[in-house]
Amino acid sequence: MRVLLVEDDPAIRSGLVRGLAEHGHVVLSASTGAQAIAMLSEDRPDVTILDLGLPDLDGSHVLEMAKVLKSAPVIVATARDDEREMIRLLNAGADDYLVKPFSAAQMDARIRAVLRRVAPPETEDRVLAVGGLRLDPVAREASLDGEALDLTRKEFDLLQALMQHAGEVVTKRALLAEVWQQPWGGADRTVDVHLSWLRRKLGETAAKPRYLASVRGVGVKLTAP
Amino acid sequence: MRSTLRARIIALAVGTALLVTLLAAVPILILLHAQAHAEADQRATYAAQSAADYLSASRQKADLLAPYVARLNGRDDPPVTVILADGRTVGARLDADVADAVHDVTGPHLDADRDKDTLHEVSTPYTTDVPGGRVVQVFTRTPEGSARAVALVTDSSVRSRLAQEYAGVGLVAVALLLVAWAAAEVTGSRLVRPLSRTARTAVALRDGDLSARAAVEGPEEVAAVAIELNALAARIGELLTQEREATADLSHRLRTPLTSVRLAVDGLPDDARRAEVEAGLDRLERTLTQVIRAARRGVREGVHPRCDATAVVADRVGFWRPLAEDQGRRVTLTLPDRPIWVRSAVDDLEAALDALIENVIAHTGDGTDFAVALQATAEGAELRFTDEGPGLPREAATRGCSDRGSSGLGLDIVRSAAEATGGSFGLEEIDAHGRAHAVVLRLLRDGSS
Repeated sequence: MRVLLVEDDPAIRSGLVRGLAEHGHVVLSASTGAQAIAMLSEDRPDVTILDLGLPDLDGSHVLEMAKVLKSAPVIVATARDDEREMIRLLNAGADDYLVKPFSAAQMDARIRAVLRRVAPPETEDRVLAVGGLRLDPVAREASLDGEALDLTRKEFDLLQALMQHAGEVVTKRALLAEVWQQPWGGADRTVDVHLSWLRRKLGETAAKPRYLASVRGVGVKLTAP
Repeated sequence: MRSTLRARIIALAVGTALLVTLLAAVPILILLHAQAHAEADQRATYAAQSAADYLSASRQKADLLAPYVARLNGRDDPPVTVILADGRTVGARLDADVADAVHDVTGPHLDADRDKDTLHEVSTPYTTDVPGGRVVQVFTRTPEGSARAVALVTDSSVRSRLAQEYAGVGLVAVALLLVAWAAAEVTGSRLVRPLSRTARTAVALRDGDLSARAAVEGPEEVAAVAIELNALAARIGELLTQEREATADLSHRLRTPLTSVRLAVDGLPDDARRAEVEAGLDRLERTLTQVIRAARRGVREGVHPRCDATAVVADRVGFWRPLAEDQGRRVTLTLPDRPIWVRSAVDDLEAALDALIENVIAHTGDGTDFAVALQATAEGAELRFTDEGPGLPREAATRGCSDRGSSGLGLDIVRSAAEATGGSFGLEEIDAHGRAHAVVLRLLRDGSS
């Protein structure tokens, strides 16, 4: 993927360029708004990561320009975690946002998620299936043995993350990073409680698991019963 | 119960009017009383003199006396009785006790027709109190001897006339009071209406509508209150904006360098040292998030945070129950059967409950039961969180001290939530080892509910 990184902080810029390159992306970087707008039209990146606090222009102006140029999807990377500001940016055309601090792995997961949303594969290719479990990430529908599952947004994302790694032990830290976009490990209980809810909705318990098996001290694994 | 300003204005106006009316009415009534008696006496005197004059006219035939007296008595005057020299009476009948009192008065000696004008002498009127009233007697001479004309003024007739006049005075007094009440009502409304509107604006501001403004109207003093209230509302808005900007700045200043550090750590070799640095970074990020969250309290809550503690406790315990059950923990929840509105933002109370439950789940073994009980108190609500785990050290109640081996941030969140309502937080049920098994939050009631 060709990623345009618009970030004025040199430390963050170099760290993210290196981190995303390790995840297989080709990273172009710009440190000002004017430079970013020029690169949007000339280099046609697949995705743009945009910091809002730029020295010459407010990042939201770059976002407007990206929409005018009908360029690649934009992920806003911001230190502003004000809910109203996030809603304003999403309404202004941002495809996603990530609040600082974040890791390169998180940003990589976001890039892939945004690209999946923007260019979804055909239904039969995108639907995940494990045993009697079916999950369509685009239609956001999940079913178990043909019965639709009533999942909250987080439960759906959690199930999706686990089905994408079916048969593998996924650490809670990885789930926190992918589903909650929180790199810190201290919120393990958030994952635990959502797993418990998911178990109930899949008709199983921790004592009698079918699809979701906890691997003590490591993480959780989703397998067909 | 406090009386309203309008009621006070009306009470003052009507009370003043009543006092003035009473002060004026007392002499008026005394005057009317005296005047009624004097007028009755005068009319009786006139009637008695008329009859006596008729008797004194010797040329008048005696047989016309009865029709003459009947004519007098047909008028709206005191009834007249003529007592002739031979004791016969003509005209109104006198009661026996009145007749006795009349006969007790002996008239003056009157000469015959001294001036030879064919009219006999007539005495001056004699007024005497009798049972049930007064009589006026006028004496004259007739060819048969001394006769008298008696006019009776009964107390009841005077009272009847006075009652009508008193009623008139009463009506005028009531009319005056009504006018005073109406004037006070109009004045009170003009004063109170803008004040009430200003008070409604203050309530809207208290409830968080910072766009509410009071209309500048009414008397000068009331308009001044509205102007100052509007200035206060604008100032609150400015302070909130400043606070919002300050916390946004704080967030930006802290998160940006932390991102550089995290990305730099990503570039380190994947070994135990990196894991150690990452763990430290995780704790730092969690703490930072809580610090920013605490700094944002004013912005998040607005000017009037409130929530139903019963609903929040039920919701959060319900959220955690599946995990607790998966871990073999029995959760006992005791709730009141009605909402308890407390002075806390939903987010804060939720965060406090999450911190308490998470603390137990993180630091006690599977199968350790816990109980959450909420009860209404005079001040608001008391939330008691009890677990059967190893307990918390007494020092954990102190700000910033660690609890069950963690950073202590969880209990700081709980403390902040309780203290933000004006309530308190404490540890109870201390065991022999000095460890607490119950966390108690006292939350203050929301006054506007």
